[in-house]
Amino acid sequence: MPDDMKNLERMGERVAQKLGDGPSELRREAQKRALLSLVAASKPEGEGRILPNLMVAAAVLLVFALGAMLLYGQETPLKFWVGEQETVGSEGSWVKASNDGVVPIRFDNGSRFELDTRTAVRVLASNMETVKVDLSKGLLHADIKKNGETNWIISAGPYQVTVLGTAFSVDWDSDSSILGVSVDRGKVLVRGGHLSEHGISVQAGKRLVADGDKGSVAMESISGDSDTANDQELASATDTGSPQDRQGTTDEGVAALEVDRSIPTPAKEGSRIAVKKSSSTVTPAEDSPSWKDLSDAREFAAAVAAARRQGLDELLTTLDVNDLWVLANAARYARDANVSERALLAVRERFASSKRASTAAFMLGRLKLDLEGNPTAATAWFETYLTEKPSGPLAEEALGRLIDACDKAGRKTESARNAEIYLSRYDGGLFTKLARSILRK
Amino acid sequence: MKQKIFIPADPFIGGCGTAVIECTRGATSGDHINMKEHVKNRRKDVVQLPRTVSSPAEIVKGLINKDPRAAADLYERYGAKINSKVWRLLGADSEHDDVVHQVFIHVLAGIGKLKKPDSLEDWIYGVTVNTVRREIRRRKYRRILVPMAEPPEITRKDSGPDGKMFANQFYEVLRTLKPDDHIVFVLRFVEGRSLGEVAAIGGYSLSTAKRRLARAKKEFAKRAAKNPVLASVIEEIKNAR
Repeated sequence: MPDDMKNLERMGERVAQKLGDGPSELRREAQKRALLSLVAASKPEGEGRILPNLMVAAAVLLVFALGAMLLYGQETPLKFWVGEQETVGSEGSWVKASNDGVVPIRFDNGSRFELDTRTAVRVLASNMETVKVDLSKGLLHADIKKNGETNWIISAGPYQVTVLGTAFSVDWDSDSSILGVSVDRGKVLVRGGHLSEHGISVQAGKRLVADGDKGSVAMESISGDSDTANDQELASATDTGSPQDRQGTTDEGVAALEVDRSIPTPAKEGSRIAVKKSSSTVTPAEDSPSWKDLSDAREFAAAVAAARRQGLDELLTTLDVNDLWVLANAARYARDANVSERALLAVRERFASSKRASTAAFMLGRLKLDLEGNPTAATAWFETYLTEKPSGPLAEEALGRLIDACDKAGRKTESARNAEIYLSRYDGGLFTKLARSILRK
Repeated sequence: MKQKIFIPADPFIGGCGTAVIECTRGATSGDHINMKEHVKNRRKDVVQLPRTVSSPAEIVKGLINKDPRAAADLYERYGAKINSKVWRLLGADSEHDDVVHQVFIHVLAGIGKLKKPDSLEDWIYGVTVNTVRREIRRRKYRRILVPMAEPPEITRKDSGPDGKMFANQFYEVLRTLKPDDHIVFVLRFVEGRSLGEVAAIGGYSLSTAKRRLARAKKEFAKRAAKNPVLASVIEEIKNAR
């Protein structure tokens, strides 16, 4: 068999292994129900009309097939239109704003959403009783016209923002589990995640920041001032246990607030500009695309070159964790090991308590092994990851690569020992063949 | 938090209604868990009698007569394989459940025309592939007309960030191929089917399947080489040999 054929087969095997065999049991249960309802719906009609009838049934039962959605009964639909061209939207649709500009969603009752660049939402339900939108990432501005009968709910990860009549913005960073809610007018109720079951009410002029990873919550004025008067209320609004714990949460809340000041405040255009201006020393010339734009356009080598032009030292000390990660990946794809390593080290140094810090250790191991051909350095990083996250999502891969790195570094005994550990934990996994071959040596 | 949810009608238990359930994690993943528990609790009162799954011929007959038990058996017997095929052809897609549902719609619509009930399995896989082919074509047009979000990254829970990125990039490149080339490529390299099986499942002659596979291989390799993630995986595979 030719080599390219074998390579494609191996790539296909890896894809199949990564994907698995299909969705969860719960979704399959919903599929089965949908099928049974389909048969039930077609029963009274004549044979010749099966397909049209099934199509109608399918429309009614679409929600079952979606499997994971909530239904709020058969209500009068609330029409909505997407984009400047006002394409008619339907429940279940995904809408994404590209890099170029905002995408409006206009509802029939005069309410309006605006999706900021790179924001993705799914309209789960839109009827006169409930409009429910899932914010999967990015920033959504909402201007809701209250009519007294429609509940407006924005979900973002484990959180829910219930609208009590208002104009507000929700931003959600799924990587770091940070939710921000800024209210311009009226008030909203934020629930879910680690917040108490009663939730937290956010009034006009306030911004709530909930950090799912730290379990903290902070409230600030949109102008940027910390709202210390609310600390006690916020402490009691989180699901922490003892008063001591709650005190700890309050302290963390203040810390979270400080972190958040580096994040653009969505509701105030002025403050966003201020953030950009404050980092003007690393802003590229207006006529040339930034390293980030180039990275988004998958021009990785050009992105790294642009980052160097902008000043790597400054970028590495000013970028937030997400942008550092993007820069590290762009450099890795461009096979620039030096920049990628510096960005990953910056993640570990500056964001030591974030989830990304351990993942950065794993990525450093890969970088050393694959790009620099330095297996000795790679083993140290894979060991670091396994020490920090012994049962982490990359533990299997880190152990597998550690076997390889030890072997390449000439540390045969360690390689064999790791191979034994691998087979005892992950027999049948991605590196089984490698582990067995090491033990056979 | 308490929340109203709609419990769909169950043809075996009967009825439908509204329930109030505890939701501790907002309205997304947590609800599913609670809904599952709720359904399980409802089923506690039902004594389920042991029952064997019908033969293909019985399923065909039952479906023609619109018997719900035949539909349940259809799902029992072929649901997992249909899911697996759609999942691998489209790559853990956000609209996976919709596509599976479409497969069942087409199966129910066409079951009366099936001449050999014993070939039900092959026929169902043919319907599955045709449904996915239609879906891929539809998306090519839809992408031009409506702003669509990227599907959420869904792969096995134990896939690390690199694994997810790799699988996403793999399907991103596949989506740029012609629909039939996309299908033969997945059947051959992800499903590991022989050329003869690819031809039979895809509904092509052997020579057509061979020609499409050659074209798909060439185009995929060309585009994968330009994709940094896939290029590094190919290199890794070459080095591992």
